[in-house]
Amino acid sequence: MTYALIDVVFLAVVFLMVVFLATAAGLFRVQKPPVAGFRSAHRPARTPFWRPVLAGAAVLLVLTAVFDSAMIAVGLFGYRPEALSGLFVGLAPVEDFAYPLAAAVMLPALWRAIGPTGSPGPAPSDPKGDT
Amino acid sequence: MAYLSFLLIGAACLVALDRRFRLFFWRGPRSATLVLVAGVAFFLVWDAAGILGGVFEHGSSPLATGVLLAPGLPLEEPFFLAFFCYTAMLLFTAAERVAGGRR
Repeated sequence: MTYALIDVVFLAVVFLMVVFLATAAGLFRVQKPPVAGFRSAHRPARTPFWRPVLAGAAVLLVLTAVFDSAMIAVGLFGYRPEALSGLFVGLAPVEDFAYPLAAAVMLPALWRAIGPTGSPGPAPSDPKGDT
Repeated sequence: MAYLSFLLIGAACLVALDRRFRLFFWRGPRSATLVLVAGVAFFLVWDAAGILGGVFEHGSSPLATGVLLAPGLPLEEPFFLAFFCYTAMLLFTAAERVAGGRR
Protein backbone atom coordinates (compact mmCIF):
# COMPACT_ATOMS: atom_id res chain seq x y z
CA MET A 1 0.00 0.00 0.00
CA THR A 2 1.33 3.48 -0.75
CA TYR A 3 1.70 6.22 1.82
CA ALA A 4 -0.19 8.63 -0.47
CA LEU A 5 -3.23 6.35 -0.53
CA ILE A 6 -3.29 6.16 3.27
CA ASP A 7 -3.01 9.97 3.42
CA VAL A 8 -5.92 10.41 1.02
CA VAL A 9 -8.13 8.18 3.15
CA PHE A 10 -7.24 9.98 6.40
CA LEU A 11 -7.44 13.46 4.86
CA ALA A 12 -10.92 12.56 3.62
CA VAL A 13 -11.86 11.64 7.20
CA VAL A 14 -10.37 14.95 8.39
CA PHE A 15 -12.32 16.84 5.74
CA LEU A 16 -15.60 15.26 6.81
CA MET A 17 -14.88 15.88 10.49
CA VAL A 18 -13.95 19.51 9.85
CA VAL A 19 -17.11 20.09 7.79
CA PHE A 20 -19.16 18.57 10.61
CA LEU A 21 -17.41 20.46 13.42
CA ALA A 22 -17.23 23.74 11.52
CA THR A 23 -20.91 23.57 10.68
CA ALA A 24 -21.73 22.80 14.31
CA ALA A 25 -19.59 25.71 15.50
CA GLY A 26 -20.84 28.04 12.76
CA LEU A 27 -17.37 28.59 11.34
CA PHE A 28 -18.58 28.77 7.73
CA ARG A 29 -20.95 31.61 8.46
CA VAL A 30 -19.87 34.75 6.70
CA GLN A 31 -19.56 37.71 9.01
CA LYS A 32 -22.32 40.09 8.13
CA PRO A 33 -22.05 43.74 8.94
CA PRO A 34 -24.12 44.45 12.05
CA VAL A 35 -27.61 45.73 11.43
CA ALA A 36 -27.89 49.24 12.80
CA GLY A 37 -30.21 49.61 15.74
CA PHE A 38 -30.35 45.84 16.27
CA ARG A 39 -29.12 44.43 19.55
CA SER A 40 -26.42 42.35 17.89
CA ALA A 41 -24.83 45.56 16.63
CA HIS A 42 -23.25 45.90 20.05
CA ARG A 43 -21.86 42.41 20.12
CA PRO A 44 -18.14 42.23 19.41
CA ALA A 45 -17.25 40.85 15.98
CA ARG A 46 -16.82 37.11 15.81
CA THR A 47 -13.27 35.86 16.28
CA PRO A 48 -11.85 34.90 12.88
CA PHE A 49 -11.17 31.20 12.36
CA TRP A 50 -9.76 30.47 8.92
CA ARG A 51 -7.07 33.12 8.96
CA PRO A 52 -5.43 31.88 12.17
CA VAL A 53 -5.82 28.32 10.84
CA LEU A 54 -3.86 29.29 7.72
CA ALA A 55 -1.21 31.10 9.74
CA GLY A 56 -0.80 28.13 12.10
CA ALA A 57 -0.72 25.68 9.20
CA ALA A 58 1.99 27.66 7.40
CA VAL A 59 4.27 27.63 10.44
CA LEU A 60 3.54 23.96 11.21
CA LEU A 61 4.41 22.96 7.63
CA VAL A 62 7.74 24.78 7.83
CA LEU A 63 8.51 23.21 11.22
CA THR A 64 7.67 19.81 9.74
CA ALA A 65 10.05 20.33 6.81
CA VAL A 66 12.86 21.22 9.22
CA PHE A 67 12.33 18.75 12.06
CA ASP A 68 11.07 15.82 10.00
CA SER A 69 14.22 16.11 7.89
CA ALA A 70 16.33 16.26 11.04
CA MET A 71 14.64 13.19 12.53
CA ILE A 72 15.10 11.24 9.30
CA ALA A 73 18.73 12.41 9.06
CA VAL A 74 19.57 10.99 12.49
CA GLY A 75 17.85 7.72 11.57
CA LEU A 76 14.89 7.77 13.96
CA PHE A 77 12.72 6.34 11.20
CA GLY A 78 12.68 5.67 7.51
CA TYR A 79 10.32 4.67 4.75
CA ARG A 80 10.02 1.75 2.42
CA PRO A 81 11.00 3.42 -0.87
CA GLU A 82 8.33 1.62 -2.91
CA ALA A 83 5.59 3.12 -0.70
CA LEU A 84 6.63 6.70 -1.52
CA SER A 85 5.89 8.99 -4.46
CA GLY A 86 9.54 10.06 -4.59
CA LEU A 87 8.86 13.75 -3.94
CA PHE A 88 10.73 15.17 -0.97
CA VAL A 89 11.05 18.47 0.89
CA GLY A 90 14.52 18.23 2.34
CA LEU A 91 14.61 14.62 3.50
CA ALA A 92 10.90 14.54 4.32
CA PRO A 93 8.61 12.76 1.86
CA VAL A 94 5.74 15.06 0.76
CA GLU A 95 3.33 12.46 2.13
CA ASP A 96 4.45 13.36 5.66
CA PHE A 97 2.99 16.85 5.26
CA ALA A 98 -0.53 15.44 5.42
CA TYR A 99 -0.07 15.15 9.21
CA PRO A 100 0.53 18.88 9.89
CA LEU A 101 -2.14 19.78 7.35
CA ALA A 102 -4.67 17.61 9.18
CA ALA A 103 -3.60 18.78 12.65
CA ALA A 104 -3.68 22.46 11.73
CA VAL A 105 -7.31 22.31 10.57
CA MET A 106 -8.95 19.51 12.52
CA LEU A 107 -7.71 20.33 16.04
CA PRO A 108 -8.69 24.04 15.91
CA ALA A 109 -12.11 23.05 14.51
CA LEU A 110 -12.60 20.66 17.43
CA TRP A 111 -11.37 23.31 19.87
CA ARG A 112 -13.84 25.84 18.46
CA ALA A 113 -16.67 23.33 18.67
CA ILE A 114 -16.06 22.29 22.29
CA GLY A 115 -13.62 24.85 23.67
CA PRO A 116 -14.10 28.00 25.72
CA THR A 117 -16.35 30.57 24.11
CA GLY A 118 -15.74 34.26 23.79
CA SER A 119 -12.91 36.27 22.35
CA PRO A 120 -9.39 35.01 22.99
CA GLY A 121 -8.74 38.58 24.04
CA PRO A 122 -5.45 40.36 24.37
CA ALA A 123 -2.50 38.61 25.96
CA PRO A 124 -2.79 38.73 29.73
CA SER A 125 -0.35 41.03 31.35
CA ASP A 126 2.40 39.18 33.12
CA PRO A 127 1.20 38.60 36.68
CA LYS A 128 4.75 38.71 37.98
CA GLY A 129 5.76 41.56 35.71
CA ASP A 130 8.95 39.78 34.71
CA THR A 131 8.89 40.33 30.97
CA MET B 1 16.73 8.22 25.16
CA ALA B 2 17.93 11.52 23.66
CA TYR B 3 14.89 11.72 21.36
CA LEU B 4 12.44 11.23 24.24
CA SER B 5 14.34 13.80 26.33
CA PHE B 6 14.15 16.34 23.50
CA LEU B 7 10.41 15.78 23.21
CA LEU B 8 9.91 16.26 26.95
CA ILE B 9 12.10 19.39 27.05
CA GLY B 10 10.21 20.75 24.03
CA ALA B 11 6.90 20.00 25.71
CA ALA B 12 8.05 21.81 28.85
CA CYS B 13 8.79 24.89 26.71
CA LEU B 14 5.30 24.69 25.22
CA VAL B 15 3.81 24.46 28.71
CA ALA B 16 5.73 27.60 29.72
CA LEU B 17 4.38 29.50 26.70
CA ASP B 18 0.87 28.19 27.26
CA ARG B 19 0.98 29.26 30.91
CA ARG B 20 2.46 32.67 30.21
CA PHE B 21 0.00 33.59 27.46
CA ARG B 22 -2.98 31.49 28.66
CA LEU B 23 -3.48 29.98 25.24
CA PHE B 24 -4.72 26.41 25.54
CA PHE B 25 -4.62 24.40 28.78
CA TRP B 26 -4.60 27.68 30.71
CA ARG B 27 -7.65 28.85 28.80
CA GLY B 28 -9.85 25.76 28.77
CA PRO B 29 -8.17 22.86 30.58
CA ARG B 30 -10.95 20.35 29.98
CA SER B 31 -11.44 21.12 26.29
CA ALA B 32 -7.69 21.27 25.79
CA THR B 33 -7.27 17.79 27.29
CA LEU B 34 -10.03 16.45 25.06
CA VAL B 35 -8.56 18.04 21.91
CA LEU B 36 -5.10 16.69 22.69
CA VAL B 37 -6.29 13.17 23.52
CA ALA B 38 -8.49 13.09 20.40
CA GLY B 39 -5.58 14.31 18.28
CA VAL B 40 -3.12 11.74 19.63
CA ALA B 41 -5.67 8.93 19.20
CA PHE B 42 -6.44 9.97 15.63
CA PHE B 43 -2.80 10.20 14.57
CA LEU B 44 -1.99 6.88 16.27
CA VAL B 45 -4.62 5.24 14.06
CA TRP B 46 -3.05 6.98 11.05
CA ASP B 47 0.37 5.70 12.15
CA ALA B 48 -1.05 2.20 12.58
CA ALA B 49 -2.35 2.30 9.01
CA GLY B 50 1.14 3.27 7.81
CA ILE B 51 2.80 0.55 9.88
CA LEU B 52 0.35 -2.15 8.76
CA GLY B 53 0.60 -0.89 5.17
CA GLY B 54 4.37 -1.32 5.31
CA VAL B 55 5.17 2.37 4.78
CA PHE B 56 7.48 2.94 7.72
CA GLU B 57 10.75 1.31 8.52
CA HIS B 58 11.71 2.11 12.06
CA GLY B 59 15.34 2.88 12.30
CA SER B 60 17.49 1.41 15.04
CA SER B 61 18.82 4.79 16.12
CA PRO B 62 20.87 4.97 19.32
CA LEU B 63 18.88 8.16 20.07
CA ALA B 64 15.71 6.16 20.61
CA THR B 65 14.94 4.07 23.69
CA GLY B 66 14.30 1.07 21.46
CA VAL B 67 11.20 0.22 23.48
CA LEU B 68 8.28 -0.75 21.25
CA LEU B 69 4.64 -0.35 22.28
CA ALA B 70 3.59 -2.57 19.37
CA PRO B 71 5.46 -3.94 16.38
CA GLY B 72 6.79 -0.90 14.51
CA LEU B 73 5.48 1.59 17.09
CA PRO B 74 8.21 3.07 19.28
CA LEU B 75 7.51 4.32 22.82
CA GLU B 76 8.36 7.83 21.66
CA GLU B 77 5.55 8.05 19.10
CA PRO B 78 2.65 8.99 21.42
CA PHE B 79 4.92 11.58 23.06
CA PHE B 80 5.81 12.96 19.65
CA LEU B 81 2.14 13.12 18.62
CA ALA B 82 1.15 14.90 21.84
CA PHE B 83 3.98 17.39 21.34
CA PHE B 84 2.96 17.83 17.70
CA CYS B 85 -0.72 18.41 18.49
CA TYR B 86 0.17 20.80 21.33
CA THR B 87 2.40 22.77 18.94
CA ALA B 88 -0.41 22.92 16.37
CA MET B 89 -2.86 24.24 18.97
CA LEU B 90 -0.48 26.82 20.42
CA LEU B 91 0.21 28.12 16.90
CA PHE B 92 -3.51 28.37 16.23
CA THR B 93 -4.43 29.98 19.53
CA ALA B 94 -1.53 32.42 19.26
CA ALA B 95 -2.51 33.36 15.68
CA GLU B 96 -6.11 33.71 16.85
CA ARG B 97 -4.95 36.06 19.59
CA VAL B 98 -2.99 38.16 17.11
CA ALA B 99 -5.86 38.24 14.58
CA GLY B 100 -8.62 38.93 17.08
CA GLY B 101 -6.89 40.79 19.84
CA ARG B 102 -7.63 44.46 19.53
CA ARG B 103 -5.90 45.83 22.54
